[in-house]
Amino acid sequence: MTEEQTNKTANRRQFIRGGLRGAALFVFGAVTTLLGLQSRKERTVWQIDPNKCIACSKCATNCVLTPSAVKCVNYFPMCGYCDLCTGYFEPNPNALNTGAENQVCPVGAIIRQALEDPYYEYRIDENVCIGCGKCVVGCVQFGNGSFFLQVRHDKCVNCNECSIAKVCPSDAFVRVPASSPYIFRAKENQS
Amino acid sequence: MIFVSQFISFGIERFPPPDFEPGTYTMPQATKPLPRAHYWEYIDMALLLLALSLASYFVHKKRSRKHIFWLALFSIFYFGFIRKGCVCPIGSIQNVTLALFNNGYLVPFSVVFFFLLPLMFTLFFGRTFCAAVCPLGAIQDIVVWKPVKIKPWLENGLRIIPFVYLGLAVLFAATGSAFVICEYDPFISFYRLSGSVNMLALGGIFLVIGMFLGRPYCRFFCPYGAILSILSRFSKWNVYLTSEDCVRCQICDVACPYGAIASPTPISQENNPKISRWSIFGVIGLTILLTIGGAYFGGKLSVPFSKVNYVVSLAERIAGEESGKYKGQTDESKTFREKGGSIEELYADALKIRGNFATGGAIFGAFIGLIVGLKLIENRFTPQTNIYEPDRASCVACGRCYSYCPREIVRVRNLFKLRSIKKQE
Amino acid sequence: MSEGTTQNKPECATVNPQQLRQQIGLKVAYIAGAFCVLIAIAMFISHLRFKAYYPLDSIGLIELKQKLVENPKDESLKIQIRKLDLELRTEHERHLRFVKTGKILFVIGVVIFVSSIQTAFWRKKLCVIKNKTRVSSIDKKFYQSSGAVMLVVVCLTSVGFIIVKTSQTNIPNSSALAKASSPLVEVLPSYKEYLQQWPKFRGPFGDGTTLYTNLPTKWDTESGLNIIWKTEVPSNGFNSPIIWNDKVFLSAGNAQKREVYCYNANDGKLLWQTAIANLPGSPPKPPDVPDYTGFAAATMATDGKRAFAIFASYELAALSFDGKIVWAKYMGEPKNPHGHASSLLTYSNMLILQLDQGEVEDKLSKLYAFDGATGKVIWQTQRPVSSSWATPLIFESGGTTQVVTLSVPYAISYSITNGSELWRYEGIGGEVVSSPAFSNGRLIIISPSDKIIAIDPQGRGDITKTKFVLWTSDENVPDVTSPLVTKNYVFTITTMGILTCFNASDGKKLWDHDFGADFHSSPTLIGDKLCLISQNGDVYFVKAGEKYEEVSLFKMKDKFHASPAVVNDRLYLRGEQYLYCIGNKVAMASK
Repeated sequence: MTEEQTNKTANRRQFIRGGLRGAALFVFGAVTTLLGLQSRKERTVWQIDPNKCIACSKCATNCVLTPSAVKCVNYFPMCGYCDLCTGYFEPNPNALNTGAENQVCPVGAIIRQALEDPYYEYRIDENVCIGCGKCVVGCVQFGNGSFFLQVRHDKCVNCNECSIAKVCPSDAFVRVPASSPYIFRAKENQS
Repeated sequence: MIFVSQFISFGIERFPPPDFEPGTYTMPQATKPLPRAHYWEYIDMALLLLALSLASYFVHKKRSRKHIFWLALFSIFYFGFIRKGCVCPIGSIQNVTLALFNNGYLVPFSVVFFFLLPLMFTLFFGRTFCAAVCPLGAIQDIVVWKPVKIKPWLENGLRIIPFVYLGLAVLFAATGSAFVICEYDPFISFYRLSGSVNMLALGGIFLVIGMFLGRPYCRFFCPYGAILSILSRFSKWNVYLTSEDCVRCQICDVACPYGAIASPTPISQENNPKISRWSIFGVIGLTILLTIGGAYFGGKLSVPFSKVNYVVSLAERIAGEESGKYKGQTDESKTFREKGGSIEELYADALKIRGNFATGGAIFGAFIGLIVGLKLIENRFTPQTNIYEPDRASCVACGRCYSYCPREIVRVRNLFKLRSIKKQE
Repeated sequence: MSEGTTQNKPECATVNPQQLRQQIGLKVAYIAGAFCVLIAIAMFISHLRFKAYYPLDSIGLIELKQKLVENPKDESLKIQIRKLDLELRTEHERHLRFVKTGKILFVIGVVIFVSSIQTAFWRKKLCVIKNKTRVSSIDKKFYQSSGAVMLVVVCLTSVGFIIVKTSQTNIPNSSALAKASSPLVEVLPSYKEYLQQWPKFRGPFGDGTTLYTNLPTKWDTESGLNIIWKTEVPSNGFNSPIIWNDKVFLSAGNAQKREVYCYNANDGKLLWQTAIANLPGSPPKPPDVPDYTGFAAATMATDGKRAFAIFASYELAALSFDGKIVWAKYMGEPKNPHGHASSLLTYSNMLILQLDQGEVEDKLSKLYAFDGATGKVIWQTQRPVSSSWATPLIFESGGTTQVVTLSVPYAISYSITNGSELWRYEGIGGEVVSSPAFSNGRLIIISPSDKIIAIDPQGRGDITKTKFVLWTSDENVPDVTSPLVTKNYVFTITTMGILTCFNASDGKKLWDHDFGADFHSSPTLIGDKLCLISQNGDVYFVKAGEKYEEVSLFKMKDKFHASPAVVNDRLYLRGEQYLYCIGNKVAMASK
């Protein structure tokens, strides 16, 4: 191959590369325009729709975090403050006290506190809660449904594909805007 | 009906909440801890732009391995440990695909940015993203210990896999079924220091292998790398050594842990123009055949592939229960039945999704066939050189060869001398 | 021969400081590596133990608790449970703590490891291979590489082939489905018979007109003049009665229960009442619905075999004429700020439901056509609109039967046969409650925020700025009641009680009249007279003509929200307290 030929080949290669680069830029432009129509400023985070959630306890084991970023929330305005809390006590409680044999929560994360007779307040210690949803089952079936599971965003690392969503049997995981990242069961009091 | 907008009350509770006497009890608020603040998005984007610019500068202007190494450490620290990886450009392929195929999904702007910016940089500067910005690449880059060389032809063959992975990821994302890249990201659980045992083990295995086989994930799996390897073929600038006065010492080839240095191919003696022409027709014909065959075979994969989809797998389960193949119910089928959805509608939805998979699978198969064909054509048209040069497609611009090439060292020394002479003048 | 080998004795220059650095670095690397491996193993073991101690899976605890239920007085059992529970929780916490420390130690190990190998190998002297250049001919390279590529392809294909061959599907294919779901052929009453009934909101034509003309223009609840019967009805429902032969259907509901009532049209006796409750998937507590809409604002519909009802809780049910539920379904969680109010329609074997909810971007609004006999969806369409409370209208124009729907921002018409879109008009604003009406080739639709629009429904596609928009008028636009359209005139009545007559051909206002009363009930045309009933029970009969001409005016002692129904020369009127059946007693007696 002569030098001239080599130069010619090199020039041709340069030219083809330039053309392809232009084509690639064009494709990027097209994709950006298409996505421009399909994009939003705000990013999304994962959340559980409590109306779909069946509290199957997969949240406790399938989160990439241990313990899970899903925790139980008690929405107090809905809570009945019952003495016999079906979220707190086993179905046939031996006695209505804080004994381990009566509690549903496997990690003892619900704190029961007596208020004026006959009401009791139930708080959830999120540092202990593992998000198994055992209390949610009882509260939804026989109570007001003020207990429900929510992804807690101070803990959640917001995986691109939530590994709990992948196995959720009731398709309850949804992407929500990061500015309003919680779905509470009741229509919330805005004030 | 008078439509006055009015506060919607709670309705009837099974146990009405007590009316506490005012002042006796303050009802605790259910807390709502917020996710990472929104401005972090902009910080991430700015840092990505900065890191890419620095990487390109270090690779092309500074030509310094040391600078690239420190930038890689920064990327591991920030994009890896601080930002915890999500959404990374590799995973963003799926978000973008889903947004393009599913009108209901709106992709956040920052994800589009993370997807496109490294592509643009690659188009101009080569794979500088892989060099020091990608936290997955960076962690593999710094654990390289005693890299073994694998035969170039084997490497050539294995580099098909990223394209298959890319095709699958796009297929599953487009059908709204799964984000496989994220599901099988080996290093994310390491950066989070948390995750399933399987994924942690997979990350560990990749890192241990990475000590003896440079960047195994980047070279043989990374789907984003597959796109970048195409784009870097016609990037404006690319990594080069001092090609004019190459002494063929081969030291760059030994220094490169990733097998990215193309060895010389002298002018073939046995090149018979007639045979050569036939072989060109041969590969082009084979490409067309592979594409058609791929499309046919890809379409057949719809039944097993579609099972990844939630709706299809639910329909399979329900159908199995209906026909008595499965005993009992899973959580999924139980929920479906309790909600009283129509089984026929579910089947119809599932079959529609399977139809999408048939179309998508055919496109996937054709894509793989085309890539394989192009690979063959490229092999046929390998430029004939008699020097050692980094290969445009597979070079990840780690900069190791810069510090070893004797001619480069001479060049830098001369440059240095020249500068000092100029200064003295 | 073509490949260079690295096994050749290398000639490496020996530099002492570098060697030292390398040796130390390597030693540290080995130690740090071993440390990391140890930590990893320890964490893995802890993980295995943790699995065994996972508080959720403890079978022992569950068994003990079960035993306690059987022997509730066994104190030792209680102590046993508490002990085990404490043990489990301690173990759980210990594991979490261990993992936390383990992680930190592991990262420290990795950092030391990486930095030591980097120090050891930073700019390591490499071995120059002499006399061996890796050179291979292009052809050889080509065949080798291509061979490798093809090998990978063959491997992947065979894996794919095995996957395809071993995968099975349980889902029956569509042809089998079609066979399985082909419904039994059922003979529905003829269209002629349908027209003689009052099978849906605003009558057989859906526009407030009727074939019956022989009705009194005056009656009195006190003296019983022309009142055939009256019967008490539940007050918690704003829907209008529907009638098929001798049965009157209406619905009522609140948060506790939603019910369908059936009365005998001859004497007003309650025949049956059926509660719609506990549908699969519906929540135990219905959604919150404001009182001004209530749970039963939507009027029922019938196809002559079944009566259909929907409630604001999105419970949709089909009942046989003897009160049995044929099918029922829950349509999902309502996202309608005022509660569902759009009434059901029937057409041949179809049940049409306009379920508009949420905002446009929520993409929740849909139009459904169900098979009335089975409840299966015949077709459904996604609608790009926000919540609406208007009832759609089914009418025939130029050989096509259309179902036209009103919502913000579009009025969209669909083909009744398959739900495909025929045309759309953009520019509906406000809270859409009024239903459309059709007569003499003109479709009148109301945009409550600004205008009344007359449309020629023969257009296709977006007709907003075309000749198919015949005229618009912004005078006295109603917001709750629906318009009444005759061949030559369009009548509207606003909530505040202004009755307006427009010229149907050009939209010019001919006259208006202020009744000074509130209206929720839509006008009905009986013969050549409009029948208007205000909320407070004022009944007006007005000539439907070029000039305002009052026929009669009197008061009833009840409150009225529903529109009347006219069948067999009788008028059925639902008040808050009573359901009234009004007719010429003499005329009835002579029959």
